[in-house]
Amino acid sequence: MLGIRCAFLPDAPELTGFFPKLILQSVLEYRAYALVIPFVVILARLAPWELLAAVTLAWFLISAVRLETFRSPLEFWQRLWEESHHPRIRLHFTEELIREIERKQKRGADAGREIALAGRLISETVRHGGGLA
Amino acid sequence: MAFVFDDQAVIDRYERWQAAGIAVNPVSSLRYWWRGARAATLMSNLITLRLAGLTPWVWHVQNALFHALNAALVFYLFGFWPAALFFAHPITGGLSVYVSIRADLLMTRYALLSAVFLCWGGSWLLCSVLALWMARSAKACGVIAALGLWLTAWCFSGRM
Repeated sequence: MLGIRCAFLPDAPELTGFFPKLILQSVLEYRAYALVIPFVVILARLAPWELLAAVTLAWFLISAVRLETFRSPLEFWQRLWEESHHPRIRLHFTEELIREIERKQKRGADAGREIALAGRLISETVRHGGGLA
Repeated sequence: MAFVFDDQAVIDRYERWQAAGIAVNPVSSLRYWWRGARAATLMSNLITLRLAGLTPWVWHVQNALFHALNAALVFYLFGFWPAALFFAHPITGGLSVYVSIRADLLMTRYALLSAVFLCWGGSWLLCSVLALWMARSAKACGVIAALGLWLTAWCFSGRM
């Protein structure tokens, strides 16, 4: 819950160790969504309401900032690519990324940065299998 | 298939069986389900996909609504401050941007519903078991989450 990760991975010794990580990153890996409930229930029992109000407000503001994540469909597909683990699914999202670039080019906008990004993602996808084998 | 994400049971095993020409009978289906298939999550994703396609904001808004519903259930079980903290927490509040978190949102919803039905008692116990089954169908760790929430409700909820 504090965003600290301990890992023991016999197949990947370079990843084994003690890693302080950001809270969200840690949760994305371990999916602690439901575990927040006992945590906040106990917190609500222990803390005075003034402190709870201040903490709730601060957390709400941080959450609101976090919601501003995807400003474009391109960022959305890139995020999905990063979230997915399976090469074939990644390939699908790369295709969506390419379609988005084509749409952007049809509108006459410069898509140089996006093309470079798509190239990198395709390269990584294919290197890790890409469902092409 | 686009929104299966890390559901290894669907991606690897099921398709491997299909490729090998293995018929999916009730026993193998049960084994497939037990190994981590997320039928409830897959169904939810399919419904959104049919209704709204791949429009990103629809997925985000729907996830945010699911989170709000979970917070409402926490409010029912534990009162205002736990619900407010749960709703506003950067971990939970920020997760609606994370599309594949839907498995957790659904799992938590069904686990909370299971605890609510348990509080009501009597014939609702059957609904509690059904909600537990749905939590398991949303994500493999749904049973553990439900048991954890039952324990939390037993210790801290005035309704139990």
